[in-house]
Amino acid sequence: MSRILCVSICSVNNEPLFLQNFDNTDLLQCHHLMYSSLDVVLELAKKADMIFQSRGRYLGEIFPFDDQKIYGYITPTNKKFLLMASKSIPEQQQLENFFKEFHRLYVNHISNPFIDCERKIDSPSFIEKVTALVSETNKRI
Amino acid sequence: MVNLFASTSETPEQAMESIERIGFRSGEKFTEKLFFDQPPTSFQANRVGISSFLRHSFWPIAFKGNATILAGSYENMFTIEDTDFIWTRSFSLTGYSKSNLQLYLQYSCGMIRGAIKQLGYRAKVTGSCQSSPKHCQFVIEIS
Repeated sequence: MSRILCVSICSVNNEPLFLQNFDNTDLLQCHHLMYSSLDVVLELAKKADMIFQSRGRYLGEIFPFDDQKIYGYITPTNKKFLLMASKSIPEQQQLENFFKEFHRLYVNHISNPFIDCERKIDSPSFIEKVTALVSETNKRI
Repeated sequence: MVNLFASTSETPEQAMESIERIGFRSGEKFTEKLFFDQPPTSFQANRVGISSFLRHSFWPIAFKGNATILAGSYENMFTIEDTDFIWTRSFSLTGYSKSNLQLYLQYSCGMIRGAIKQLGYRAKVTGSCQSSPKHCQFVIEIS
């Protein structure tokens, strides 16, 4: 049974806007892995000419590292969502659903007029919702 | 909102900037939501794509009207014209000056600038009114 270890959002300039680790994973390692996989995301997106497609694009598994696997998703406005899982997840459909829901949570959070799009996300309700989504998805993968 | 800023700002330029900035932020969020809820059918993130996105997806939903695009004199400049702009539709036909009216258009200029920024480009947007208040033109310069 695979578990989601870490979820992150990176902005257009590759700044981390949000990074949440679950299951007491090492935070530093999460940062390190997420950052290393950003290069691959950019490459994949360019290769398939995916930058600025009109819908969010699921990029699949982008970085295998020991046992952890990293999956990526890029939004039409070039924000990157990354997910780190403990083992390889065979059901891609579940991951696509996860990213779509995550995108929806992000858009709803951004619609708050007091929130700046470029700043780090540290709203407790957003973190709560993401945690709920992750535990929901953990049951299905 | 315009009156509040006009009366509390020290200079008219400051009022214009503040209103435009508010419009900018709401334009950013609006585009994010737009791409998620109603993604346009085809979209390319180059200069041509931006103008067609603005005309086909952004304008009908944000400003509930039709817009036409006129090419500008430079390669990275174009004009969007709306003959029935929703926010100035009910302005009276006399008793206004062009500079006053520009203040009311600053919010929409900001919205357009925010939308273009989310697509990855920086732009400078200026709005002006032509023959009547509801006939507006926005000149967009993309860098």
